[in-house]
Parts: sequence; structure tokens; C-alpha cells
Amino acid sequence: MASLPVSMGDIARLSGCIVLCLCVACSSPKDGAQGMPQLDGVVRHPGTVATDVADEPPLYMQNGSIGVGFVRAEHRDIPPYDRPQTEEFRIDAGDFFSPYLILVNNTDATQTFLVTAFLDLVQVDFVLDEREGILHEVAVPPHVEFELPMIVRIPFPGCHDVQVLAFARPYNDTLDIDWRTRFGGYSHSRRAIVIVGDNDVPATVPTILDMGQPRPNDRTFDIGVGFATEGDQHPSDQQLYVDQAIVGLPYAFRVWATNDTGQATNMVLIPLVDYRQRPIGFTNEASWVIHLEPEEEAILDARVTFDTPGVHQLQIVFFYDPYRSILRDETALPIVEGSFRIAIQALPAN
Amino acid sequence: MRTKLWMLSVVVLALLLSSVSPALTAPDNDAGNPPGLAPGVEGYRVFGKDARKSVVVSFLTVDGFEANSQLLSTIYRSGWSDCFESSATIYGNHNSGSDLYEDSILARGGIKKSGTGWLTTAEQQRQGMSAFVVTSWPDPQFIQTWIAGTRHEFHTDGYVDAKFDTQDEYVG
Repeated sequence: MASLPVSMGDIARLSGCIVLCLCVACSSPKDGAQGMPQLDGVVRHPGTVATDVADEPPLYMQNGSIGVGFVRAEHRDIPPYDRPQTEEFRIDAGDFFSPYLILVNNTDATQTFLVTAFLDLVQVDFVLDEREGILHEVAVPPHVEFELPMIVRIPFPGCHDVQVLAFARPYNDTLDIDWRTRFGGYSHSRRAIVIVGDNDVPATVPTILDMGQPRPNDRTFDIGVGFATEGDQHPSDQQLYVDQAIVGLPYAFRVWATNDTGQATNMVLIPLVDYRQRPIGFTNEASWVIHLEPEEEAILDARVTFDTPGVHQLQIVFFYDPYRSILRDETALPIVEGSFRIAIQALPAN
Repeated sequence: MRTKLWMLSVVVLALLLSSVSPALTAPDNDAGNPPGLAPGVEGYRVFGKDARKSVVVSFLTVDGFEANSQLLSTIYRSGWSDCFESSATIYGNHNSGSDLYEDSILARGGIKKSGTGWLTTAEQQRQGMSAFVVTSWPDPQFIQTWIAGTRHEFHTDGYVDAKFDTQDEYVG
């Protein structure tokens, strides 16, 4: 029998790949598209790759981690683990905070991020790769590390608290609860203390809320920050991940913070609606700083009103002990975290 | 013409995908479990596809948008989730591990039924090379799809904070 130019194994592999191609081609990159409203203030960085293909990679391509960090210009040639610390920066008065922002995509698919920065508990405009904006859309190819020049303007001396967050899969508008229950809510981040000039006095003095209460003994559920529907039951019995609201009418819910760090801490909560900082408390705070003893929790009433129909993304950025030194381990946790990213579908009033 | 183009596209895609590493499609198993950690009450078992990840964390640094994926080294941050049943109880094992001695390594794990919120969670955060927690929940009915999910977070003072998720399912 004459031998075939290709083996049967090759044919089987090719057939399998064709089937796989068809499956991938037929699957929507957006899981259960509900329609997100147009986001304001997004600066697109088109120098990467087409961003519309990277929103929701097929499941088999999502393995791997995302990394966010800083590196000083003079240390870029040093191998990553030999570099000096980047938890604390000292710069001269009048200078910018201008490290390179490291964005690492260790997954098998291009990842689109919305990158944003907070200075002293406020979301700020900043320059990334020579373009200024409050939300920067950057797509990072698979298994690639970017170092992007960034500038955060710090207008006055003192000790400043800076966080940079990269929100992965920002345009996924699914109402699938299993997607919404991922810890961390697809957020990635890095925090630094920046001391400008010789003055290391904290740049702001946040009002600290002392509203902690012991966590009920029968609860084994504490997750940093979560959401719950309005009601009298414990938030763990009324967890909120997806819901519907009416455009123009206030939607009431609860924010639930727990201290699972094992030590007393001042916990900072910054609420975001569609990735923009927005007060959701009844007294219009743009952020909360809550003192919590170990195993304590705080439950806050919240509400939000949507002006446009569509699926809106709610998330809370949280970290511990503002203005305390990360370098000297003075914070309960050195990392910045994201709550679950919940979805509220706003329906037209009629 | 349109049909030919379509067929050509399929063939090109197929050839591209045929070069995908076998590691992406091969079944994930317990072979790489850290020593001393039981892989499950029944001994050897096969993990689900999302149950475990190993992540190379050092890559060639590139300027701006000039992408390159050549490896500089193979230092790993890794983690896994394991969901299994024993004595009418659902268990979740949640493990984060690193080749580095991390300033902070965190494993945050939980158990839930598919399509619902979390029933129980636990976390361990410490300095070192690993973090490990176990979660459990009574399951008298066994007729659910259970999910053990884990968030893995790593922090060192001079490089990036890395984060990723794993999860494993148990179908009762």
C-alpha cells in the first residue's frame, strides 16, 4: 500500500483543529451580551493590537496571571528579581511620579485592560505612554510584558498614596453569576507610597469611620468587600452579584467589608461605577476609610442611580492602612484588591 | 470565491491552532502536587481544566509596544484548587505556591454551588513560598455542581504584584 504524504495522526489532528476552529468561530466573545453603555473618558492606545478581539478569550486561553508593577527608568536593565524595591519612592518637590508601569500578561490570549490610577484616594488623570486620561485602554499580547512610561502629577509635598489598577475583561457585560463571583473581580493592581520633598506628613487626613461590629460567630464567609441586596438579613445571606434597576430611579443595596487580615486596620474603600469613582453612600462620600478590629465587619447602606440603560459594572477598590509604609510592613496587607465586579442592568423606565 | 476564502480561512486557522502546545489540551493531573499534600480522599484523581495553573513570571522586558515573548528565566508562581466530596461533605483545597520567597503570598478560597453566591470562604496570607487553606460545606443531597474557587496573589517589593484565579468543579 502506497504511503500517504501525511500520517493518519496528522489528519486526525487537523480534523480536531477544524472542529475546534468552528467552535471558536461560532462562540461569541461576549458572554450573554446585554449591552454596556458607552464609557466616558477612555483613552485608547491603538499601538497594540485590535482590542475588540481581546475582551473575552475562549476559556482554554485564560490560564495564567496578570501582573502590575513599577520600575524606575534606571533599573530597567536589571533582571526583575534583582531590582530595588518599588514600594516607596522619594522624589524632589516639583518632580513628577514617573516610573515605568509594568503590565504582564501571562495568559495565552491578548488581554484588554482599562488602566486607572488613584492619588490620595482620588481617581486622577495621568499620562500613560505619552497620552493623558483617566482610563487607558491597553491590549497586551499573550505572554508579553510591557513597560509603559507613566506620569502622575503630584502637586504638593508630603506623603502620598498611589494605586494603579488594571481591570481585565472590562467590557464583559454578562449576567452570569458564576462569572461575577470570581474573587478579585478581574482587577490587578500595585500600590506605592510616594514622598515628595522632605516632608513625609500624609497629604490628606481621611475621616476614619469607627463602625465595625463583631462578625457573627456562625459565619464562615468573609471576603474583604462584597455586595448585598437591601434587607435585614446578614449580607452573606443576601449576596448581590447581578440585578436589575430602572433608569432614573435609585437602586439601593449594601456594601459589606470584613477584616480578615488578623490585625487591626484602617480599610479604604473606593467605589467605582463603570470604572469611574462615584459616591454611592448616603452622605456622598467618594471613599470610605473604616477602622476594623480583627474579625470585625462593617455594613454600609448604598444607592446608585443610572442615567442610561444597559449593564453597569460596580466594583470597589480596597486597600489597608493609607499612608502607612508598605516597605516597613506597617500595613495589614501590602496589596490593593478589587471586590467582586457586579452587574446591574438598568432598564428603561417604560 | 467566498466559499474558497472561507475554506482557506478555516485551513489557516486549523494550522495555526495545530501548533498550540499540547499542554493546553492535555488532561491536567495530580502529578505535580506539592509534596505532603493529599491530592484528594480517593488518591489519584484528574483535575478539571481550570483547577491548576503554573505561571512563568519572568519574561524578557520589552520597550513600549514592541512585543516579544522570549523567556529570560523560568521562575514560577503557581496555584491550584481541588473540589471533592467525602463523608457527606464537600471540600475545597486552595493552594498558592511560588519559587520565590514572597513578601506576601495569599490563597483565598471558597465553596459555592454553581449559579449561586459563596457559602464559605477562608484565606491564608503570609510571607514565604506557599499559602494553603481548606474549606468545607455539608452536602447531604449530592445533586449539585459544586465549585471550589481560589484567588492567588503574590507580592514582592521590587517587581509586579501577580494575581490569578483557579477553580475546580465536583459534580455530585
